[in-house]
Amino acid sequence: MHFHGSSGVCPREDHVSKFLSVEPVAILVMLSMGVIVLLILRPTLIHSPGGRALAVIALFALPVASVRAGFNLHYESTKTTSFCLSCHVMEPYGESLMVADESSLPAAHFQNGRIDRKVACFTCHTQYTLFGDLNAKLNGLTHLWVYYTGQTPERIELYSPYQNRECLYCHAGARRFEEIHVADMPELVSNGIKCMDCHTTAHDVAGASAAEKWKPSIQELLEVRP
Amino acid sequence: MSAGAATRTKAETRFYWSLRLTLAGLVVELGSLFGLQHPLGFMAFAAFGCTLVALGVVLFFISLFAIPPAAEAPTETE
Repeated sequence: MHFHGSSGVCPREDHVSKFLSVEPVAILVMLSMGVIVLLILRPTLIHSPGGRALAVIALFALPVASVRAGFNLHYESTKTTSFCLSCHVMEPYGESLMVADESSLPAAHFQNGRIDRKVACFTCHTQYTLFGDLNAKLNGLTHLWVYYTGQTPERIELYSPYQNRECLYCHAGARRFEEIHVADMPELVSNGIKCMDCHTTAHDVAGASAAEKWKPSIQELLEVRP
Repeated sequence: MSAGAATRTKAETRFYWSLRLTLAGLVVELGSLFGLQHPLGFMAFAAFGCTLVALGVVLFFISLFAIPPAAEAPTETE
């Protein structure tokens, strides 16, 4: 298969996982809590001008900063592979990343590090459009609702056919890719032919559990290896 | 005088409620940081943490602007 010839992680910056540290956010939240507790325990403070300034800090500046930092952290964590695979229904998709089958697109990308493993699902399943990230997050909220209300369909399908745009976001401009696909590029760009027409094996969820796997566990790949 | 004191008391009550709401929201946010890799952590943060903090901040501003100057005057001169 031609796509095995390309190597290296996709160089696009927004494909690289941004792991914000939990500790600074926790410290900021605890600082906010501490000032609020101080105002609860010493209510007379509020009657002085300094106390009022402290109230503005305690009830506006620090909480808003804490929520903003917490939102950033949660937002970035929703892009992680671990987050996606924490839902039971996604387990077979996680297993399909580890099958020892070179023709499997997700497995080839994941195992060879062509995408950042920590944000693997999001890298391929977001739309590279102006509101692609936002749509992915809104869809994610729908998924949470469907999952926790027990309405998960037996067969999970994409909302729309997979677009070449998502593949070309990384592959376009790569020498080996363009040399191999030079004749097809106009049609690939215009979606005249689909990448998936030739590269047909996406997530083989039905056969993933029984298939031979690459030796390291997915947890090891996500937590230990870069 | 008594009307002013009553208004001030109401504003203070709002203020202390805003403290409690914001504190509760921050406690939820802190708890949600432990479940960062799980959808429930995100849900707790978004649905409860953010809502409580937002209510607390709004109530704080209401308590600030609800205090008529006349009600504050005795406190300033005391």
